[in-house]
This record gives sequence, C-alpha cells and structure tokens, in this order.
Amino acid sequence: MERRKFLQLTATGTGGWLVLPQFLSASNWLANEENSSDQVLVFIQLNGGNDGLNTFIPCTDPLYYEHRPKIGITKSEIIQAINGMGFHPALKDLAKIAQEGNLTVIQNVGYPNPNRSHFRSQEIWQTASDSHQYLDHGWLGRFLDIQCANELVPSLNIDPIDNLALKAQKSNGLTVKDFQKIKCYQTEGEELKLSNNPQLDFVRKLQYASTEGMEEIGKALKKAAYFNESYANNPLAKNLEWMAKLIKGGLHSKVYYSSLNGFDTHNNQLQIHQKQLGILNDAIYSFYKDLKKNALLSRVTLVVFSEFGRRVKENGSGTDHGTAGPMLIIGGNNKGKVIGSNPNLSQLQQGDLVFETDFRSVYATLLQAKFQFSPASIQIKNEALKGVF
Amino acid sequence: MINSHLNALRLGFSTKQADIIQSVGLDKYLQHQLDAKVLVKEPLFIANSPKSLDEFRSMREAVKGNEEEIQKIGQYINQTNFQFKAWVMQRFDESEYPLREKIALFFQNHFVVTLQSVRVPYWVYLHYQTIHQHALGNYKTLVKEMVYSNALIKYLDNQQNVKNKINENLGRELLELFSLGEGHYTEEDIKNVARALTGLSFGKEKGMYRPLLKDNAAKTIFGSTGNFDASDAIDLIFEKPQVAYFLVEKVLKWFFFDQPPKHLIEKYGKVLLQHQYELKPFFQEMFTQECQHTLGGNQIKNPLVFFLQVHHDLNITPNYKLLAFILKSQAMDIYDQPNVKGWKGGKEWLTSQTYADRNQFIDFLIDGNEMFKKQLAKRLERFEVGTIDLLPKLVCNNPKNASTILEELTNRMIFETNPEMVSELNQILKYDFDPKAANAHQIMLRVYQYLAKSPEFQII
Repeated sequence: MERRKFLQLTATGTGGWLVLPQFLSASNWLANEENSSDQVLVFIQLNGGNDGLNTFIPCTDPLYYEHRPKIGITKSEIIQAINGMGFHPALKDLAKIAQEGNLTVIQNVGYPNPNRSHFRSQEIWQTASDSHQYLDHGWLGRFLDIQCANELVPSLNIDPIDNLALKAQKSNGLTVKDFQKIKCYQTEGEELKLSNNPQLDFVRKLQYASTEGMEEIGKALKKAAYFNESYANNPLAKNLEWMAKLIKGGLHSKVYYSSLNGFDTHNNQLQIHQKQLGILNDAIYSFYKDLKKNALLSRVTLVVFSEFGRRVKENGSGTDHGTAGPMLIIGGNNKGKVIGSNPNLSQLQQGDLVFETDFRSVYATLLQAKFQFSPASIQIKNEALKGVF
Repeated sequence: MINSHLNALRLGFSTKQADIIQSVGLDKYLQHQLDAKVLVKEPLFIANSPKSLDEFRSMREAVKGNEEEIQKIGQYINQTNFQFKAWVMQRFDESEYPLREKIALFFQNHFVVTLQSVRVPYWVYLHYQTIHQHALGNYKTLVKEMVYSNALIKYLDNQQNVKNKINENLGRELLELFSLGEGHYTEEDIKNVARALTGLSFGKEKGMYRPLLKDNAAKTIFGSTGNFDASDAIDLIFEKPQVAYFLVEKVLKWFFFDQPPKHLIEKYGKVLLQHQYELKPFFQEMFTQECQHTLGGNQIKNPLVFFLQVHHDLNITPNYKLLAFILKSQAMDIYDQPNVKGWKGGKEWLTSQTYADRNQFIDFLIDGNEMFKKQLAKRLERFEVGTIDLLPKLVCNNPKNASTILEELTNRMIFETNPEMVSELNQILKYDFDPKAANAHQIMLRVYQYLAKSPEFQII
C-alpha cells in the first residue's frame, strides 16, 4: 500500500516535526567520520509471543469479533490504517510513523511446521534454522562473523542475557545489562589465549570482549555527550536511548538488539497487552523522534518481531500460543507499505493462522538491501522479500 | 585441582566439605549423604503466612479500597518471598547434607515454580518439602506428586484447565519439560494429556480433582484410549524409555558437564531404567563413577556456587538476604526463574555483564569501595538484611613461602593453570615474599583476587 493512501486513511491527527537547524543534526556532525554512512540494524524482540491480531487488527473482518468476543478490540477504538486493518489504540504513535511513511508492516510472518514452544520458536527465529534443524550460532552472529570479523564490538545487546541471534563463532558481541553500571569497568586489555577447552575459551573470550569492548563504548559515549534527547520513561526506551547515543558517537556496531517481555498473554490479555504495547509505542516513538531530528533515520532500520503470534480464538481472558504474526520495520528508507494479505481468519490450521511470508525472507531483504550481503553465505536460502525498501 | 575440592564443588555449593571428603573418602561420603534422613521444618514466617490463594485474596478483600493497606500486603508478601529465598539458601549452605540440597535445587529447577507467580509462599514451601520427600525415591512418583502440587498447578494455570475449555499449559510442560522433551510427542498428545488434567485444581495441602470440571470422555495418549486421569497419563508417558534419557541428560548437566557426552547419557539412562526409575541407586552410581573419572573444566560455575565458595574461602559469614539479592542480579534468582524452562546453565550463566559483576564483588571484598558500599546499602535498605560482615580472612595451611602458598591456592581454586598465569602469579607473590611480613595477608588476598577473577575460576 502506498504512503499517500496511508495518509488519507489514518484517522489520527498529523504530527509534523519542526525542521531543525542543520548544525544540530548528528549526521552533519558526523560528516567527516568514515562510518557516517554505515547502515545499522536495531532489533526489538517481543518475548512470549505477541498477539499479532490485536496489534495490527483486521477490524472489518466479522470473523475477528466472532473468534474474540471478549478480547477483541472495539472497532471504534482501533486506529484505522488501510484496507480493513488498524492499529491497537496503544500504538497511536506507530500509526503516526506509518502515516509519515516510515513504517512497513509485513503481515502473516512465520515459517513452515511452526513450533509453539517459546524457547524453541525463539531459537528458530534467532538462528534462522528450519523447524527441525538445530544451529549453534545466530543468524546475525554468522553474518557479523563474515561482515565485520575485525570489529571489537560487532554487535551490542542491551538485555540481561545474551541473545542467541548474535552468538557468533569469531566475533563475540557484547551484552550489557545496565549501562550506568558498565561504565565503571575499565581494565586493560589482555592477550586472548585459546585452549582446547570450549568452556574456558568461552569465558576467556567474554573477558576479552568485555574489556576491549568497553573502551570502544566509552569513546563513543564521550563523543555523543553533546546530544541529549528526551525519551519516554521505560526500560526499553532507556535501552534505545543508549543505542542512539552510541550510533551518534560512531560505535562501529552494525547490529543492536534488545527485548521486551510480557507478551505471553494467556490471561488478562486486554490489560497486559495494552500496557506492553504502550511501552513499545512510547519507546519506539522516542527513538524515532531522536533519529529523525538528528537525520539518522535513513541509516537506522528498526525491526520488531516476536517468536509467534497467538491462537485466533480467545481462551478465557487470554489466548494460547499460535503461529504467524506481523513484523514491523521502521526507518532505513523503507517504503512504508503494508505487505502481504490480511490475516485469513476463515482458513486456519489447527486454529492458527497460516503463514504467508517466511521470516527468513525478511532477514534476506535486510541483509541484501542494507549491506549488499548475500543471505546464501549464511545458509539463508529464502528469496528476499520484495517491496520493503 | 585437588580432587576433594573439585568434588565438594560438584556435590555441594562450596569447598566447605572438601576436608571431610578427603578424610572419609568419596564412597563413604556419598553413602552418608544419600542415606541421611533430611528434615524440613516449617519456618515461622511460613507458618504465619496465608495458606492458600483464597486466604491471600480475602486478606486483600478485607482492606478493599484502602490503597495503603493493600500496598502493605504486597510488601508483606514480597518480604516473605525474600525471607524464603534467604531461608532455602541458608539450608543449602549450612546443611550437613549439601548434596541433598543440590539434588533438591535441581528438581526445583526441573519442576519450576516461582514465588512471584504462585503468590502463596506456603505452597512454594510445600513444593520444596515434597521434592525433599521424593528426590531419592521413584521418579515417576515424584512427577505425580509434582503435578498435584498446588504451586505447580498455579504456576502453570491448571486451575483454568477444565472440561470443554482446555488450558494446555501444564499438559504441554509435563511432556516437554518434565518427561520426554521436545520432539517426542505430537500436538494431539498434548491435547489429550491436557484433557486428562482437566479439573485438577487446588486442594488444602495438594491438588485435587473437581469432579464437575473433569473431562470424563475417552482420551487417546500414545495409542492407548481410556478415561485417563493425571496418574494414568503419567504412567503412559513413563512407558517410553526416553523419559530416563531426558532426565539423565539434565542431571549430568547440573552436576558435571555443560555438554554431557552422549555415551554417558546412554549409560546412566540405562541405569535409571534398570532400577525402574528409582533415583537413589541411580544417583549413587553416577556420582561414584563420575566423581572419580571426570576431570575438572567441564562446567561453568553457577552464581550460587561462585558466591558461596568465595564466602567460605575468605571466611566470611554469608548474609543470605544479601546473597539472594546478588543472585537475582546474576540471573539466578532463587525460586524465581525467568520462565518455566528454568535456568539453562552452562554459558547462560555468564555474560560480560555478570562476569564483570562477579569481578566487581571480588574487588569490593578485597580492595573495598566506598561508593559500591553506599549503593549496596541503599538498595538493601528496605529488606532488613541486618549486619553484613565482609571482612575477608584467607587461611593457608602451609604458608611457608611464595611457592607453597601459590601451589596451595591454585590447587584449591582452579582446575588448571597455564604458563602465563603462573608468571603473573609470580609477579603478585614474588619468590622472596615473607609470610610473616605485616602486609602478608593483604598480599595473599591479592593472589586470591587474581585467581577468583580468572576465567578458570568461573569453571568447575
């Protein structure tokens, strides 16, 4: 769907941003940096299985309300977007981003033989494996191993635990739980010693990555000290704020990653989902405004996904694990379309949506369009999805 | 590394028992640990807490409308939860039978329930007690007891699993996590097992069926058809030998290997099957064999062992509330696992952040750090942690000279050394070190500090 139609059909008011003087923009400030045109991917993983049908809602489909008499979102509250679809009211600012032509929704993303276990499905998304295949390294880790084998911090994960998607063979990305805290750790670099003990090697690399990486991060933060944007007050927003700082500060990381918990809505979905989507909306909108103001939006592509969607039919006050769901792409000069057909609620498989776009073809698009990187070299065989960028 | 120290870490939570293992020998030690009758006495804060979800709700109901009082109840539950964490940790640490506690914690992480989601600390306490009762009995019985645990029913929402309105949660995890592991059943099996569990809800001490909510139609599980209940379903699942192999792999991971060798999973799986799921002879054989034959260096140390070990090495009396607090930030929140799969262990135990935090704590103990101390004190304010003694005292049995001290500490602490490490250690404790010098203890602590921060110390 074209941006123009979006503009016509979106019900919310127009936002419109002040045009800032050039000297305030980060891209101007970074003009002389050698990596000023580098592309950056930012991922937000929604943990627990986000209910796609209540995120980007088929609000004109009577079957939607038939399947969800209790937890269906009232039509009048839905932010109408296009072609019978609309945003959850908590996503009002994402609707605004869509209206501005900077948000692409890819509908019904999933994979064949879907697995409804959180852990396994996350693994599948993170390794880009087939449903029955087990891979040790993440898809982004494999990409970074080739693309930036010599970077000290090829990727940065702001989360309490490491993310399998970034797990690489050569280059150990960095996981930081709390930036305030991490600034205190400054130790001198040490030579990496490799043994034939995988456990020991792992810890040594970690030690190395943490000490070496911290220096790079410290440098970037120092450079970005001039920039100070106001962000929503939630942990995801804080994480995105740190990322924006580091991007402005010229950190060479190509991939940033964070996650948001709380989408496993078996019970009390209306309330919980509203709250989590609100957090997501506020965090993304803060980040978006910041990038836009500093003319970084074309360099940074934000991707939002979840390990699966949820069962079409409600169960009590919530929903069970399902399959396909929408993926969101923001920035990076995306075309601002809705790709794929609306969820087909009349043709379900075991009560779940049938996937239309394989998530790996979205990965393929990201790699090809943003890095001119061939997905086949990291065993992604799916054809790139057309029409995103 | 000295064998008795290595085995003390594997069979317990620190090297506290190393000397006993050394003096009585491994076989006798294991016998003593496995034969003991472990007593679990209900602590006072549990005795005084609400005994059911209904009691908890009526507590809140009684103060309805009074925000302040409602908040107080929330705080009270939080504090009781925190006390519970400290209480189990004290048991882990002070028990005469740490192996039994380590087995119990293994099963708690296998049949995960969390204080946060169960909301009735008493039920979580019963879960702990039940595990102790059956941890060396029959595994099938244990699984049945667990499925009937109020805490587990609540944690996996089975109170909502009723006739004609299935909630698959418990059924799915019974197959995926408690018995067979992923890939050994179909979605249909899950549905039928879930139907066998319909109506199983809370009871006084343990769960019970609500006859009206139970689905009495025929279910088909692995080809057998009948009006099965939870116990029947578990019997049917246990007909598959895969149950043994799935458990054994996890046990080997917990006690010995981040990546258990296939042949050992086979071997001990067969042992468990031979004994018809009797756990005691299985554990006995596995510990006896593996403690003797497996060298160190196979497992990343979990935060609990790391911090208790450091406390004992440095003769610091643990403050269990402080420990509960630290473990939470180390992603090993006791009785509050992040999800039903439990702690995965292995590489998941360490990130650059948690490793840096471990190091920061070691530095704090040995070098002191006023800022850190203030921050810590501030964050602990509302938990009434009491006095915290953090004065390290390192005792060497043979402090004759630099080389005897270095030898003793490396042998006690790390599974292997390398030339670079040796040369760095020799720089910290030079050959002409005088063990009687005034600052001798502080310098010995620097050796400890170096070793405790090394990658080798993060591994058992």
